[in-house]
Amino acid sequence: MRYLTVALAKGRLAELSLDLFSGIGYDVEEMRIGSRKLIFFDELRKIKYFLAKPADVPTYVDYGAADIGIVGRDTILEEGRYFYEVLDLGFGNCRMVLAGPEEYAGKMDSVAISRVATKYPGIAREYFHRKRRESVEIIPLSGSVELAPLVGLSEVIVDIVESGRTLKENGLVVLDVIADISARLIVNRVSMKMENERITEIVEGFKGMLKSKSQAECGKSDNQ
Amino acid sequence: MGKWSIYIPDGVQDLLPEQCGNKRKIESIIRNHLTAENYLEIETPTIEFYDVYDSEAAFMPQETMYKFFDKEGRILVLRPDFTVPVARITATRFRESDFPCRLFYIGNTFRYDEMGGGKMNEFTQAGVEFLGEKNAKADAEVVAQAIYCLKKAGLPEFQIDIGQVEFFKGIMEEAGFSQTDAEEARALIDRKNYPGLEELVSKHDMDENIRCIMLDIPKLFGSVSMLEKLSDKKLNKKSLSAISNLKKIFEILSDNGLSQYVSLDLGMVSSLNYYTGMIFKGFTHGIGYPVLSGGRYDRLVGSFGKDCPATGFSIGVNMLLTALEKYPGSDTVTEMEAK
Repeated sequence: MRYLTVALAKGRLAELSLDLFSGIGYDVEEMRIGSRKLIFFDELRKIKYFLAKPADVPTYVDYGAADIGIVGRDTILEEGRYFYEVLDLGFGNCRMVLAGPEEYAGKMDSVAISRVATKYPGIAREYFHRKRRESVEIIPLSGSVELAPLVGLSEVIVDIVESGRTLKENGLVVLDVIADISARLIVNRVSMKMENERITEIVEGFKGMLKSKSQAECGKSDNQ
Repeated sequence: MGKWSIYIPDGVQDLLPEQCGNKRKIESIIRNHLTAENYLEIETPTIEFYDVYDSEAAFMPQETMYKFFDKEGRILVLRPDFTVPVARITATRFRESDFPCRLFYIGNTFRYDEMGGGKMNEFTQAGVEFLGEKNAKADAEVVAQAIYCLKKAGLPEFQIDIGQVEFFKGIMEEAGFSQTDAEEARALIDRKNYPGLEELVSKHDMDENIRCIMLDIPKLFGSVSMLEKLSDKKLNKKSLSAISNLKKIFEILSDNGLSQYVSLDLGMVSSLNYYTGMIFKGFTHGIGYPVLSGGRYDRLVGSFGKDCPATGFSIGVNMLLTALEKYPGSDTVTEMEAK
């Protein structure tokens, strides 16, 4: 039997991704102990797991080096690679937004943007091209994108926002919501066909867990 | 000596004797098989006018083609595929008496950033065009030939998924989707993006029956018996005749002992302007992309001036080679010796 390979995104999504696997009875404990190993094997179920930089997970899945991947929708939209996006895992929730100085709020229809700074040039370009039908200069940055409008590098930014506190503390506001972001389960299209049974087992297992989790939460709020 | 003289451009490769030998073996196997099956080899020019590919029916985005100019300033391209030139020849050089016509080709094609070529910009395609017959028998025949070619080349494990674009088009009609919405639905279904599809469907008013079917389309893959799930659904003529076409194709393949290699995928909906019926792709382990793709494209030859139904496929020979390398001790050499 072939090994099924799972690519997980390092960082904030990793723990929750591992929770999903242990939730359906798969043994992933070895991965939680901080170690330098890059690949972990579950010999019983013949599964290989590895942790990669979030931006690289779609690449591994696209090429078939990983059969399944768990990664945020922001990375999926930015990378634009070809694979199946089969499940919304309901964690890592945030929003991809257009943000800028407070003065711009409510005036987006009349304001002309010439420069946009962002960590997501693909998403920004698509947004300005499709939704706003504007040609703008996209300035790619690697991080702390909120700085850009503050120091005059750009008028606005395209970035992900969770609570909105960082924006607020820097005098910026959300001008438009581009997309809802959450962690997604992605599957290589050849693997989906050729390893259908084992992959479906994982997908259905996760679905079951997500359903009972949301039912439990509804139950909690009903009782409050 | 120029700065770049010892390098080769991005996306192309040198084939040294061993690799070259292996590639030629595969090409000979495919050529010999198709010739024995009464397919006739055809060769089209490496250089074509850009205009040949500049139509909706041909569906080739201009940014993917290598372009240059001739002496008169007309735009030329390095052929990005063979199917379009074969259609050009069919419309202009063949007479009624020549049909039905079975052709094949083996040669190099050129595209920028071709994902399916594994980032190769120059790659070899071996393909078949069956012209002049519009029925399930012709469709099944080309699928069968694809299977035989992969088997004879020595690929031990592969799967051919077959879909039908008219099924999806019929559903879009029933749902009353605009062009833009249908395109959005198509992209979501093609990527089996269930969450995205649910969101799209919830935003639209449509018959509950059609809503269920649309949400199900990406799941309609696997055994052909899945088609039975649709027997109690209300479908329009287009979708129904698509299903009937698929059933016939699977039946013929089964009669020829080929069921084990084929499988259904009604959610396979790419290149809708190009394909007009059956669509199929071949997958194998070790390669993240399809190793072959094909289908029925009845509108293409007509765009060159003469209507003619057509169905066919093409195999990515470089990818096939890569896939074979991952299976040690494959049959390639013994097949050749047997000949």
